[in-house]
Amino acid sequence: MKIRAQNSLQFILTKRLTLIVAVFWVIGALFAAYTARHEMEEGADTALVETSRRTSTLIIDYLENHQDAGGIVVLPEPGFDAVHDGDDDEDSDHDGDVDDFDDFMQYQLRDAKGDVLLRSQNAPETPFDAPLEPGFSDGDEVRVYTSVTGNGDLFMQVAEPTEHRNEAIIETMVSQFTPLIFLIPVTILAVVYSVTRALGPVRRVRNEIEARGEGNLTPIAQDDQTEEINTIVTAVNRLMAKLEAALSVERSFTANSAHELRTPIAVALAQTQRLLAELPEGHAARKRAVQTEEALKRLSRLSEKLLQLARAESSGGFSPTGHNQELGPTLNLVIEDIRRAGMDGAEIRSGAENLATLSANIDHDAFAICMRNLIENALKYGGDDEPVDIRVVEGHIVQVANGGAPVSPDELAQLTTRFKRSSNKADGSGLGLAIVEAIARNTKAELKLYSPRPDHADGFMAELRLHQS
Amino acid sequence: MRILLVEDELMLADAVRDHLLASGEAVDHSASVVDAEIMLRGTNYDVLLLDLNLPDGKGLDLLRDLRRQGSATPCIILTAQDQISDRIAGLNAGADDYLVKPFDLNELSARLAAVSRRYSGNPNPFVELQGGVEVDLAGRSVLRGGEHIDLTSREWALFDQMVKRPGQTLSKRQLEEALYEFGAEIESNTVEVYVSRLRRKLGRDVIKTVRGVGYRVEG
Repeated sequence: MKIRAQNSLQFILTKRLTLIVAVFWVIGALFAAYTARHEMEEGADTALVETSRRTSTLIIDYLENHQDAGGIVVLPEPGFDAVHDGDDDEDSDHDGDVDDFDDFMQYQLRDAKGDVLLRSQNAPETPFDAPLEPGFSDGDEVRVYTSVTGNGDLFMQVAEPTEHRNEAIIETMVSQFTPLIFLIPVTILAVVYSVTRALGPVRRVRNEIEARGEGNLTPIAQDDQTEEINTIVTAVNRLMAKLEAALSVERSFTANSAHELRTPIAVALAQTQRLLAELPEGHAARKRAVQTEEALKRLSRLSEKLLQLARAESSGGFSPTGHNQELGPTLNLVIEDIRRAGMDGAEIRSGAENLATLSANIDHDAFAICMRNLIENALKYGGDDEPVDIRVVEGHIVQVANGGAPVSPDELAQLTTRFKRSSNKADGSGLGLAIVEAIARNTKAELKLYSPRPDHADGFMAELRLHQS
Repeated sequence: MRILLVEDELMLADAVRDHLLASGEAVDHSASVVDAEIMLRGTNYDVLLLDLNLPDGKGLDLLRDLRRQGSATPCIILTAQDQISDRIAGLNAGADDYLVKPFDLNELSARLAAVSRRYSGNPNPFVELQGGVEVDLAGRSVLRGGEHIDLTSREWALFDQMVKRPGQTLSKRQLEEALYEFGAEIESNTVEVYVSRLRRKLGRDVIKTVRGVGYRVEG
């Protein structure tokens, strides 16, 4: 059982439920204690009344039989045995020690003047601190019940030590609260366990939603879900379907735009090249045809880059599965394609085994656009005498390095800005690195530029650190 | 080479066909999948140039059907779909190369030559023949005793077919197909006329006649 963040539903529920249960439990226990105390007081008072009523006649009889000695008659212990036996038993086991006396009730029979005529063994010789009026009164250490007896000229007072009464109440309270000390932590554990179990489906749905992104908009499974979760999952699935449709329309629009734009340019370029081929050498129109061909090629390159930029900024570019995928074959295909196109520049050097280790969470098309731009850049701006080196580091970092004059730090910082070209050559579109930067941004990758390249005094290196998950 | 160009954009098809004809290739054009299927059933083409988005279907489906039927005709896809996934799909369907529009016509020629060489079993563009004749198939040049020999487009088209398969006898029919675009009229002695011209320029020993079968060059 693990409670994650303090603002998590699990933490909040656990905290509140535990607090509420504990507080109500304590309140309930206090109320029960109050009621128990009240009932115990009432029971103890009833016992005083009952004792007074049942014993007063017998005690008066005992007084009449033993009054000849003079002074205060002391009722032998235990009072009741003595009273019931009706005489003084010299062989009694009782030695008169108060400590052995387990009857806490104390008795005094007083006359109308308040003098003590008879007292129990455990009662004081001095009168109780209680008025000679029928009913209850509280002294410093005892609670006393007074009743009128005899011919109305004697007062029977039965007292119970307050200490004894409080001790009983405290023992009851302790026995009532002690289990709570153990039960509250057990309750907390039970609440945490129950909440964790109950929130299992919520966590599963949260993990599923977390795993979704532009690259993965597959519906979330709705098996064994509670009704509330099912409603959320249905809504999320509906929303993802709408998002998928919107992204699909956007991608389709970009793809159609590419097709619609490329075809007329292809027609114009092919027709111009035919015109150039059919014009005789030295014809006045040849120069214009050559310029038109060049302009069309430039237009072709620019439109390609603009469409790449539109794609890079419109779609996420993560792997369709939402997880890493092998990119080595794609990188090889891009390299092969550039080699076959016979682009001007140095040789491309790459280790097949090294490239095969490449794996990251990025769409093949987005990755191919990045690599094509980085390699084309290296070929365009690198020196002809040094190969373009392509390396894969740690399975997810691609480095493309080329020779040539180093780029100044100020210029390096500006290279990912749109339409910003390196001053070394000016025939690029100025969009290549901006496209790579846009794709990197959308796929949690990172583009780093170095010039001079590491361990060299010259050249340039672009490093694409792809995201893995 | 006899080439089938499947392209629905007529102005582009026109320019590509003119370029290939000027290079001495025989080109037939189809603007739809249905027409292309009919033409492929009736003729053995050396290369298929295939657009992907056609008015009555997908070029990839046509290519897959062709491969399922066991056809090994080399195919180069010409398309405006430039994504790497499109390229992978094209290559997986059985294409030999993939050229994205807009393309340079000379690059198209180079790709055609490369694919054709791969299929001839000899990817090396430099071929030495008897009689001190050296041929550069990629550069379309012929040297005899170190001297450059000029060949016309038609002469080159015929010679190219034989040089790609040195030692292999090609029938008169095979050579005719390579020489003329679909529908063009062929005289009964056209092949003999061009063989005769080539022998005059390259020497009599370069092209052998296999009586009743056809012609061949010895590497």
